[in-house]
Amino acid sequence: MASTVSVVTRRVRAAAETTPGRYRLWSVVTALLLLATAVAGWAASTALRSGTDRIRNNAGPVLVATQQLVSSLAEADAAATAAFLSGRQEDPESRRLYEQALARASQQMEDVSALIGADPETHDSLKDLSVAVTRYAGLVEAGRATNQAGVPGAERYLVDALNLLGTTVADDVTRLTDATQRRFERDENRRDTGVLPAVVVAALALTVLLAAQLWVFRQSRRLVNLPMVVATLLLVGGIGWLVAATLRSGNDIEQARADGYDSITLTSRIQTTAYRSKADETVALITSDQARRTRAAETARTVLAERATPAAIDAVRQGRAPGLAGLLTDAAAVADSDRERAAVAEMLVRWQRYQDTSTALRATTDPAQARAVAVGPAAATFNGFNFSVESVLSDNRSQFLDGLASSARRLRSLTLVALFLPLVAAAGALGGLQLRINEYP
Amino acid sequence: MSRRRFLALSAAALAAGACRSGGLPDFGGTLRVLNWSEYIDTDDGAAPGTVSRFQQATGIPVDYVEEYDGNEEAFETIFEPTLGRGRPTGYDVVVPTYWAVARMLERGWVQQIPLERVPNHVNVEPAYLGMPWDRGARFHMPWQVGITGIAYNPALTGGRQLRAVSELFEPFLRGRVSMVSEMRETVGLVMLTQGADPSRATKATAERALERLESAKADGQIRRFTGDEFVEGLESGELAACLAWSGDIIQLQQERPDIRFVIPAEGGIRWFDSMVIPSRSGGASAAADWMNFVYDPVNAARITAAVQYISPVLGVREELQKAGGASARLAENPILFPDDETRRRLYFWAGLDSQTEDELQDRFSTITG
Repeated sequence: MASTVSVVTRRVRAAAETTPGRYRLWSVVTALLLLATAVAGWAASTALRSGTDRIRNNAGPVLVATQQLVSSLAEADAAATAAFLSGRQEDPESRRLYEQALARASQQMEDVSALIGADPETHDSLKDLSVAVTRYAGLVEAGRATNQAGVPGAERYLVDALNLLGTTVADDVTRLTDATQRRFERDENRRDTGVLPAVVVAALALTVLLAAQLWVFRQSRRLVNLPMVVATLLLVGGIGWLVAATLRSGNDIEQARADGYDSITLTSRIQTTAYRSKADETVALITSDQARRTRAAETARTVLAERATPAAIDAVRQGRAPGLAGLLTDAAAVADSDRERAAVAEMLVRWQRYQDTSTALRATTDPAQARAVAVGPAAATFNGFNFSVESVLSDNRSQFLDGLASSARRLRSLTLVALFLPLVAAAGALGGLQLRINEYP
Repeated sequence: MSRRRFLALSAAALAAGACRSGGLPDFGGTLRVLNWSEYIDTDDGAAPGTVSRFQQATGIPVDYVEEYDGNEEAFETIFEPTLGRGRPTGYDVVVPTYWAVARMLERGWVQQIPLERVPNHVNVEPAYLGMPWDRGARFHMPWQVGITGIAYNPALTGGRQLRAVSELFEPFLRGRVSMVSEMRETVGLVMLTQGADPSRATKATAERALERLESAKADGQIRRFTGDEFVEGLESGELAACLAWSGDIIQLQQERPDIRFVIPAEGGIRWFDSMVIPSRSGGASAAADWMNFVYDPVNAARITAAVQYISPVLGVREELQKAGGASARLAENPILFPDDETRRRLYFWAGLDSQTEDELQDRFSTITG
């Protein structure tokens, strides 16, 4: 080993004693650094692309599926309650909605499970959630069977199901959501870790390339060595491309997150809060629990603290502050297009309709009539609100996933660019130096 | 100025205002609407119909074409040759039946509705927002809703009150019964007689219903399968009973109050035709303005009064009540405004995959001849 080093050192010294030898030394150093740049650029761009693809195809859809799961469970429960309250002659429409929502929830759990791969934390959360949802479905079925058989005590099953969904399932969903969010952040942070070293190597190569040109200028008194200038431009272009693509794709992800995912989270919060209010209202109706009724009204005020007047709705449409407090106002504040504002305005209208039927429900003293209101207008107006939220969620999901897709698109040619531009630059630099070497006999 | 006229003008002004406030650029051409025949109120002397009022309110010229003759036919002659090859249909609004809308959506043949121009989207009845193929109704807005049930002439049933579809298969009606040529409705109703739920239809349950229809047709129990020609059949006495569409019978009852329409004891089939904006239509903004206009309860009530189908627009009943007279009587019609108990007996046909539906349709077409 020591002898190899000494041989190399001897040869380098020997080469450095003549001008053509010094040219050759510059050639070797420049070419090696440009090769290192190509390797580092290729590795960084490959890691960046695969990280971005993982976010696009995996972490992003997992986040979306988790939020969809939240809304499917809320919808399933609202429908199950309406079906139950319709009595022995069950409302088939509500039952159908329940079955569809539950099937969707199961599918979304499967989707999450398939997408997360080897992630024990998320798998554990999902397993707990799956067990809780199965228990919940069992309670709904028990309540349904008992209800249809006309056996007293059927209400107990429904109340237990509602409580299970409001506590255990809600906690499991929160854990799952937190785990999937952490996973997204982890993937996002890891995505561009190779870019900085690649840029440092490239900057070093650029410095050496410029120094080589300066040296060549001093030796040859020729201002421009065209192949080396082209090599420099290619290298600068490559570095610029890598940095710009990294920043722009990162911006796309941030934008998708701000415009899409944060909106998904907010809309999903609106949906679950509204659902919780409805569930409390239902339990209060079944058990005549006044405290539960008060809680339902308080939760409803979290969604919107005051009445949605036509003026407030119009303000939302026009992009002005509606002068109301609550989650729906938060949604109006983050809506950044006419379409989104129109969708939030629709949520306001439909929420107010639901609140009006809830007020009518609370004012009804006859239990049978109250049930009729709960199954009829209250269920219909809640469904209307819920579907309008769902519509907003769909738009947000598309926006989020489109943003991630755009981020991935920006990196499409990056690997080729990061690999080939430094290689071509290396060829240019070698060619340029060889031209000068050829001038010596 | 009468109250109704004032309301209509206010609605028109609101609609026009909404048109101007949208994000899409205004459409400079003629709005082309393709709909089923006799499915809208028309100009009646001094009273302009919906198309004329829309033109007055928005200044958008409308070419309203009543040539949508059937969903299968529309796919074959309009949608597949145009949308299927990436070309525009030449229409800005078309009104297929809901299952056909689902199929169009699946194929990417429908544009998203520019909701910013349709503030009256808030008036879509919640039941139609929850379709599994378009949750929140972002791609479609229902036009009219119908029920397929039983219509009969008591004089020809020997005074017998028909209650169930199964009675149409009884010998005393042999050769004097017709069924509708829409596969999903006839098969769905027969499925109900067999204890199967059309909203959870499977290939097997649908085939069992087809077998029953096949043998009833072969035995001469079923005289024929019809579109709205069951109206003439009932009027002429050729038919004693039939499967029929609610709106047509309510219209017929104005001249023939003796004809009855019932939602079968087993349950009825609910369906709706829905407005969509086909892909590549350049008039999406005008189409949205049209949708907004017809979703104003005042305008929707006028359409309901004319066509007498169930309106998917919230607030129509109140508008009919305000209008008084015959319109107010319609507001009390249980077929137009079914109560919760009736609604529970109405089923939508479940969407099966396209291939299965095509196979069922082929077999049904063989039976209907």
